[in-house]
Amino acid sequence: MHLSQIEIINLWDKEKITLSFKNRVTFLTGINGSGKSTLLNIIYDTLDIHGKKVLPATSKNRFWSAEAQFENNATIQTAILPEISEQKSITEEISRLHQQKISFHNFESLKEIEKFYQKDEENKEIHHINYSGDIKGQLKIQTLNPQFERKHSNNPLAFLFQEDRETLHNIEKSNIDFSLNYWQLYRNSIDNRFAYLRNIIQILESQNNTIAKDLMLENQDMESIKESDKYKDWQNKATAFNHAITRLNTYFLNSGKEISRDHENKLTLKFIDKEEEISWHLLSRGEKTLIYLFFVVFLYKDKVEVFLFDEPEISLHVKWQHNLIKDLSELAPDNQFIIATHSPSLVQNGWLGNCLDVSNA
Amino acid sequence: MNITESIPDFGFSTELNEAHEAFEQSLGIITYVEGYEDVRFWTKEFKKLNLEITAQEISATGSANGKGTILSAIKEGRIALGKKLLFVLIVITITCLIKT
Repeated sequence: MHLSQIEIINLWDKEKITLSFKNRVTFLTGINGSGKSTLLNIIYDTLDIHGKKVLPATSKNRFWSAEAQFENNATIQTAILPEISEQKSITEEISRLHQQKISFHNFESLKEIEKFYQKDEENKEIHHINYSGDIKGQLKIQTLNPQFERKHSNNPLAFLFQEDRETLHNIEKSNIDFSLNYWQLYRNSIDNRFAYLRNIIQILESQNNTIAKDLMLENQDMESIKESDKYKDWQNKATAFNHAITRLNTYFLNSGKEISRDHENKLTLKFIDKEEEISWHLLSRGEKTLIYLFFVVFLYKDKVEVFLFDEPEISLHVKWQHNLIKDLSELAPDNQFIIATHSPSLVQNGWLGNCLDVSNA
Repeated sequence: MNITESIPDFGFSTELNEAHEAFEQSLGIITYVEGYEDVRFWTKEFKKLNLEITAQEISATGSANGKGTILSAIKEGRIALGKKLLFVLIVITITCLIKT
């Protein structure tokens, strides 16, 4: 299910901004401050269809509405408004409009709604241009049209990578020991995600090994085992996993390293000509970022439809950037990729015609 | 406001290709072609002439109008053709470009 278009109403005081996605891979380009990251955040928030659980919007802007249109004519409309707990009248008014099925995806309606906020607190205008760093709540209004098949009931439809933002992974539920000195002294922005990923991959590999053991214990002959769905599923997963590692190793060849497992059986690197693994803490930011990007695509390709990457090239050598998107998109051939970038090296290898310049949006 | 596809203003030029060499990545001579099917054709033709030129499609996923996209990028200065950055439309064009 590919996103074919996103139409955003009332962003940056523009009545309507439309981005069309004709290709499976699209790059958003434009000078700093042109709004690439904001657009990625709005796409993510629009496609975030958690059931009852409403997570904070990744976009800092308010009073916008966006309609995501998919190739199969399914649509999702999402509007994000500020929520001010002490002004219950506004919440009630918006709830009343929603019940009356008044469309929020309409410039005039949104402008009218903005007036509610100004009317109740005349001296405190709340609008994106007045964003002051105060925590701004959110009222999220979402409508899914009947064509929309909700196969991802509890997952957002997109995965978002923004290196400078808090990770959207559920780190609290992981068993990472943040009390170690390393986290106080040397932590950089990729470390949380990388440590989380190492845990998940270890669990996944261990589950796959258990499946293999169970198959062998079923006391069937090898031919019958090979015919079983369980075996085919196991084989597909193992093949895809090994493919990801083989591709990753081509990047590390120049520095004489390869993917390995440490004493906890978790992913790290080692020098090809040495036995001992390199502690993951000692890997460079670029090495961690590259491994992370490959394995999040591998892990999330069946859970989401769209990968949203904000400047994935940060800290990567130009050589590594050259084939990065080709490799990532081949790991997930059924998924869509929308990537914000400043890097010619990322787009030069076959993607020049896949760029949307958002500078004039 | 509709945002449509266009080649980004990243200063694609011979100088940029040469700058890659400082990062041990020699791109050599690149020629952009209209689409994926043209890569094979031009690679063969360059081989016949013993020319080490990489034919590179404008879009790996296809639907872009290669010719129009490249022409407008050249016209607007987003791609500066030079000795290491070429564009082939028809045989006559590439002959002229290679000679320069």
